[in-house]
Amino acid sequence: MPFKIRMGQPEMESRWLDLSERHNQGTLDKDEEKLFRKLVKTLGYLSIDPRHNSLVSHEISDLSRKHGIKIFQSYLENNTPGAGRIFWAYGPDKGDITILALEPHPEDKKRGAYERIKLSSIPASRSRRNPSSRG
Amino acid sequence: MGISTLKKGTDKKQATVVLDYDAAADAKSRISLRGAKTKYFHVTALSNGSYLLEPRVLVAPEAIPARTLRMLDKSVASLKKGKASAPIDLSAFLEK
Repeated sequence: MPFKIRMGQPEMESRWLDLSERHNQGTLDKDEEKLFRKLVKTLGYLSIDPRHNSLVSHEISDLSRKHGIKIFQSYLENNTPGAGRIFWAYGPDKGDITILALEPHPEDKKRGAYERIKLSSIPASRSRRNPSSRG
Repeated sequence: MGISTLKKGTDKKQATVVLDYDAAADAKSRISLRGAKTKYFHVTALSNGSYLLEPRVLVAPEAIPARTLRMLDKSVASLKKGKASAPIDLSAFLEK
């Protein structure tokens, strides 16, 4: 049974309405049009099978822990995280999928997977050795 | 959110030497770390020729841009109240 795709409120819904209306009017720029086509294709796959291979859907456990519901991420392009991604969750009703957020790469200043890696310090005592102790 | 960390200097325990060895850089100036516990390091080159390696860990949620996270937070808050848009009709777009 195909899933019903809904948009999260308020921002994701207005984003979708903006993109779809401007697509119908033909006023999307080149990058936006590309993004919209990928988004529609992805949502199509998602409605048929959320575990479709090309979506590379996977749960983001940190976000699930934070919000108390399972939050998943799917790529807009097969195995290309930099191409954009959507965040989604099941609900509000059975058979529904709600798109929570969209991250399009044209608006993302950081490009490339390696740049996306953010690093965080771990406790100093475990990591830091006195630099002057070794020559 | 993400992996909580201690601020520098908050842990009073001193680091102890667990491994001590000499190493030679290869033709591409690479040195292998023996028994490294983490994959990522922050490297600081000092003026006396020393290199300081500080372990780092990946923090996935922060890799999501702040704007996207804000959008997600609002959507989740609405979803928890049972609010979401009406089902969207993709057929018109998929046929094109």
